[in-house]
Amino acid sequence: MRMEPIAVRRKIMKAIQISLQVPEYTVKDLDMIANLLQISREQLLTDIIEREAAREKERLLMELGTLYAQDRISKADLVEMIGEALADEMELIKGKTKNAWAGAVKHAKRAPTTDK
Amino acid sequence: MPNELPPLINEQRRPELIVDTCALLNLEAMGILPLAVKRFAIVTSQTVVWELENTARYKDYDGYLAQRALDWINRMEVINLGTPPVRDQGERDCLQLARERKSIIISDNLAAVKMFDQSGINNHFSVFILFVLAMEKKIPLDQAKRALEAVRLKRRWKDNILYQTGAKLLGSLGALRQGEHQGEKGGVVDFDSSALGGEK
Repeated sequence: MRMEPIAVRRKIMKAIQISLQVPEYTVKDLDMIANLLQISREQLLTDIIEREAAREKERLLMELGTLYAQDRISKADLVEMIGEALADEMELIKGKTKNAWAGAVKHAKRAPTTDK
Repeated sequence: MPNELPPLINEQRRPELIVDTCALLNLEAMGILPLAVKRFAIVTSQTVVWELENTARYKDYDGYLAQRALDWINRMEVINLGTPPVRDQGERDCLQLARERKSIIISDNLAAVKMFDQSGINNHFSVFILFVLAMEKKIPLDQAKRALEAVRLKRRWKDNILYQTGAKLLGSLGALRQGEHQGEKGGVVDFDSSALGGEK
C-alpha cells in the first residue's frame, strides 16, 4: 500500500515546538523564499526540516543497512546507534532474505517443472 | 492424481504461490513476472487486483509497475473471497488463501510478513522466486544480480538491505558455479558451502 502523503501525516502526527538559533543571513534567505512561495517563515522551515531530515535519515540507514548486510557491524551495534525498533526491522529483512535463499535451495532441488 | 502429489504441487505440476500486491510490483520491477507465472502457479485475491488497479491510477513508477503487473493477471488464478476492497485487505485475503490451500505466501510488505509469521504461515520475500530462477539457471546470474539491483534503485533503505544480502548470496552461487567449472578442469574448489544453506 502507498504511504500517506506528508499533508496527511502532519494531520495525524503530534507536533513539537523547537527553538533554533539561525544565522542572520539564513533568516534573510528564508524570508525571501517564504515571500516568493507566499507561505510563512515557520511553514517554510517546517517543510525544509522535514524534507531534509527524511533525506538524511534515508541516506544514513542506507549506509548502516549496507554495513549490517555485509556483516561488518552487528545487531548490537545497530541497537546502540539507531535504537531497537529499526535494528529489529533490519534484522528481520536480512533474516527473511536468507530464509528466501534457504527456501529456494530446497525448492529448486525438489520441485519438478514442466518448463524446459 | 492430484491427491498423490506433494502439497506444493498443483494439477499443472507447478508449485503454487500466493502473491500479494507489493510482491507483484517488485516482481515486475525485477523484470521476472513473466518467468514467475511460467515457473509457478501464481494465485492472488480479487482485493490484490483491486489494489493494483488503484495503484495503476497514479502516474508514478509504482503506477507503471501496477499497470504492467495487471497485464499478466490473466496468467494467474484470481480468487474472490467476497471481502471489501479496503486498505490491507489484500494481505488478509492472502493469509486466508494460504491457510485454505496450504501454500506459501510471497510478500514484501514487512507489516504483513510479521502477521504471517505470527500466524505460522510459511512466507517468503519475492526474491525467493528470483533465487529459484537463478539456481535453476532459468535466468543467468548476472541478470539475476541486475534484477536485484532494480529493487534497490526503485525503493528505500529496507530494499537496500534485501539487495545487499541477496547480492552476497547470489555471489556465493556464482562462486559455487565457478568452483564446479574449475573442479571439472581439475582446479581447486574454494567455496563456503554454508552460504547455500541460508540461515544458520
